[in-house]
Amino acid sequence: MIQLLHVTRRYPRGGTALADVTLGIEAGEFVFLTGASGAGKTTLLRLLFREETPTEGRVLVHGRNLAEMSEAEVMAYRRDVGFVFQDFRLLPERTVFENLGFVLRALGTPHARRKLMAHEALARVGLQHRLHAYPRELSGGEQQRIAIARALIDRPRLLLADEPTGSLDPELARSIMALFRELSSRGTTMVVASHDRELIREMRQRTVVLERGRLVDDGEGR
Amino acid sequence: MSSPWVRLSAAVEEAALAGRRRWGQSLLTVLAAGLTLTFPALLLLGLGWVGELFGTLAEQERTRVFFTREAGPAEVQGLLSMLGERLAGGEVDLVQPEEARRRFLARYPELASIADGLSPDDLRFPSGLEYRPPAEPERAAALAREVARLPGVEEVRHDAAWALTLKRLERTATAVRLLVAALALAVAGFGIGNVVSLGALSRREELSVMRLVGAPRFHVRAPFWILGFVQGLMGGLLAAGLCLLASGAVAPRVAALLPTARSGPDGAGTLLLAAAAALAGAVGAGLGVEAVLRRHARLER
Repeated sequence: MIQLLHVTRRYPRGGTALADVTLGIEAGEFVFLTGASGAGKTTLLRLLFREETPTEGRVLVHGRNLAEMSEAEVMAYRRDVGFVFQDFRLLPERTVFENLGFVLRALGTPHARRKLMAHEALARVGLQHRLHAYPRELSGGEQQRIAIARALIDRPRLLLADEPTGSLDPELARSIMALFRELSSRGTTMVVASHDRELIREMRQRTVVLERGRLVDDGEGR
Repeated sequence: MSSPWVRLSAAVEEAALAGRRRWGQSLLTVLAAGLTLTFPALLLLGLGWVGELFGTLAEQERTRVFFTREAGPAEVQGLLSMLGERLAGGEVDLVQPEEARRRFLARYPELASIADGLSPDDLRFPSGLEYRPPAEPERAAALAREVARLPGVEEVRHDAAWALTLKRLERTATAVRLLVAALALAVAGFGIGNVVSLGALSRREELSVMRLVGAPRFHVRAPFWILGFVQGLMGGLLAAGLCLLASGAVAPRVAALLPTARSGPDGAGTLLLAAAAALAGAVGAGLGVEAVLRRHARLER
């Protein structure tokens, strides 16, 4: 499903975030990306989300080179991919329901259906009672779970998550990981960046280790 | 993909939401747009008054025809028929003897004793006539020359040079008005566009998130166009209202010179002002959104 072929990402002001990374991920697979800060985890996720394009090499998803997509194709692609951002990226002036449903509304999903979908997604992260709250009224952990619910709402085929449990206590982190594993078992491809070694070990999933932009290890969680 | 109607109604809903959430900013935008438009609108109104003044002066212009002492009803009737034909029913007034006497006394008060000494027989009927000349100075001069050649006509007073000057002034005023209108609308459009554009720029974070979650192209842009359109429209209506208030203050003085002058923008003027402002608002918002989105697209490369 996903292929990274000799991918390098350099920034104009210097610095190489990823260097010659080649990686394949099958549909429905659960993959952890790990490594120290600055190892290139977030850059790799951003490349998969087409938030950036590689300086060299190619990123293929279902055989399509993401760098060659038009703006409309990128938008359509992103609607098919859920992304849990490290900094949540919630719209502060909108309620949880509006944050979860505004793309669905643009696509013509009726209000009642949107509400049902939002309720389901929130129930999965244990926040169904926060439907009408504003992000500023939520704790960091709750905001993170709302960001997860937004990524899940339209049942994406690919879910990318950047440190999705960074603001959660260990118990909640485990329940979110259990949710991700369940999604993966239903066919959703998961790519999760995390530096929580203990959690990765507990999950016993494929783990890609990055170090200073290079792929140094690829195997089951250790 | 959803139908255009569903997409449009979602965009309208989104624009209304943004307008409500940021009502303070929306209000400021409308005020700024209104004030930006008020000055050029007043300028246009003033230029309109100048144009109307020249037009009124031109309309008041009369060609005077004086009859010879020998002119009888046949000559007078001949002249009236000819003028009726050439002026297509335009204004022609016979100068009555009493009116001729009044004008004489008004012009030469020191000769009042001579006028008083005249017997009723000395005041023939009629002494002359006045007509409103054709609007085109060349036609008016040609007609005056033609009238002067008719039997029974002693003198024709037609100030061809003044008529030509008035016509030129009227044309110049119209040209200046059109030029100022175009410039004022362009400048005001640019101003409103910038104000609305700033609103879009201030929402760059929101635009960024919309792009990241894959909001469709139309849904990202259309709410900004709609909001800009509505803000521009309200700004235009506000400018028309302010213009009406401001011009109302000077209207009595203008009315003394120009009884037919408008005291503010009329329906068509208000509509034009509002439409131009709405268009400028939508374009400005569109440019603002594009600037933000271009920046995002650059960062993604």
